[in-house]
Amino acid sequence: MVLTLKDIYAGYGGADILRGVSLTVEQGSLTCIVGPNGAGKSTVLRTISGVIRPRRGLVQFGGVTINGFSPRRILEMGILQVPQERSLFPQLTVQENVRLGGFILKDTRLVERRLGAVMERFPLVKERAKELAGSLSGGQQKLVEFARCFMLDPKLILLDEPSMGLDPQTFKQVFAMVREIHAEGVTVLMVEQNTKSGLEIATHGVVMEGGMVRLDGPSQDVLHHPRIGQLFLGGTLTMAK
Amino acid sequence: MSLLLDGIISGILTGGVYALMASGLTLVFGVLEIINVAQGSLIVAGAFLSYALLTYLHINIFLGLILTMPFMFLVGYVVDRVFVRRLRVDRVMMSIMVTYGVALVIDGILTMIFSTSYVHLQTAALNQSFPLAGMRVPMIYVYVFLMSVVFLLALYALLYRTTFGQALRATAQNRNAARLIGIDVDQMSSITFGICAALAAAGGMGYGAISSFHPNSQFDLISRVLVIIVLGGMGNIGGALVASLLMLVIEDVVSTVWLPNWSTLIFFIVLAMTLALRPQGLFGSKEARQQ
Repeated sequence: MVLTLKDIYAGYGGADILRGVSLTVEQGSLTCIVGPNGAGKSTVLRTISGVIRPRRGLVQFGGVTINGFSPRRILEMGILQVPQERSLFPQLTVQENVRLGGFILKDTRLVERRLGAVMERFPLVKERAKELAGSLSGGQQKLVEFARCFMLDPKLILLDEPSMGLDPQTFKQVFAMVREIHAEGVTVLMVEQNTKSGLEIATHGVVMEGGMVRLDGPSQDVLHHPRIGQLFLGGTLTMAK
Repeated sequence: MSLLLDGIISGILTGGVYALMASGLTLVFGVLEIINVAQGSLIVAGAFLSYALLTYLHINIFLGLILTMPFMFLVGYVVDRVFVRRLRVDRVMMSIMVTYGVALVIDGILTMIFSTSYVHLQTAALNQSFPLAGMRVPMIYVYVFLMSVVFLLALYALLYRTTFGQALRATAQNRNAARLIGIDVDQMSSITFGICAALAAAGGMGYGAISSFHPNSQFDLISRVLVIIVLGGMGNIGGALVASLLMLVIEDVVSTVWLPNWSTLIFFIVLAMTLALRPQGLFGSKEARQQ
């Protein structure tokens, strides 16, 4: 397994959102975390990427304990996060945004080489390179955020609700991109509100509720678990596992 | 007609210096999302450093910038590390309080060392002038204007032609996203504050070369540079440049053509009318205005 969380307690301003979260992410998997609002799904991703520090517990990546590592150090290990909210810089061009994805790289020639490769791979980046990122639609911005990840050599990509606020057409495009990234062998840990769509493309599923993991396993098993519908109709999975 | 021309030329030349002084303030607002009311004191401190080097070590005021700018950069860097970085909530309001405290400390130190008497950077260029359109333009005004242009161009190049500048602008636009791509936002903020103070050193030298000053000059300066960045649009360096030129040209033209007493009032009328039509300033964003 590439990532392990053991008994994680974390939150904001002293209050714990995560209350003993333990989960594992297998190498090469596409793991989807689902659960109702306030379950702590996004907090899991922020804890892994170093944006918030866990109060208790252990985060291990490739056998290395990464608790307390700075976001930059975690990035250097190959863990990249695409957050829920817009994360492009609207007053920079698309090309500048993508180039900044390689900010931590010291070799400028490598940055330019990677930028060229990303532009070849993502036609949108090439076509709109000189335009301000803020002029792109929400879906296009999300695709550029994905593209930016490839300025580094991602080993684990954390996607926080990639479908949020997208129209059905762009939703399909974004999910196709998630599949493509996974098919290339990159491990993906995704948080998704759209339970069915998220679990359908995933290999593994995790159900969270009240800051804890209630259910996990192969995504199809999780998707067809008899009590998962109940969870999203206001019930609880507390006793289901 | 020659009075009008006199006012315009004088306004442009001094406007350049004010643009330099305001650029640091607007940069800090853009990147750190705080209002640094210590900028006036930093400018006066810069002026006094040039004064000390000139008076006691006989170092040319322009050459002296090689020493004063790095020193002031360090001062700014430390101020951010010690005071500003600790502000976590209500940063804009708290920053006004904290940087005002810093201003008072700088003010006190300068008063202790230099007393409250007015001083002036006495250079040979002060007595040199050249004829232009029927009047004589003091060379020192031209020199400090050119210096301001050079530093503003250097700042532009830093912001728009380097990876560091891209990272700085990215931090100004979205601090959380900047953090996620590996930009050390805290370090970037400290460097920005350092740059702001270094620019204040250069601006202070320019200011001290064309006008008399004393430690309390900071109150007049901060009100003027704040007005400039509000008119230009908070966080917009190009806006600060245009607003500086506009403010000084209006003031100097009114002062020479009409009466000096009316110059500030007329400028504030222009400011009020502009803000009534564009509350975010000439080149500012609505988001910055909301802050």
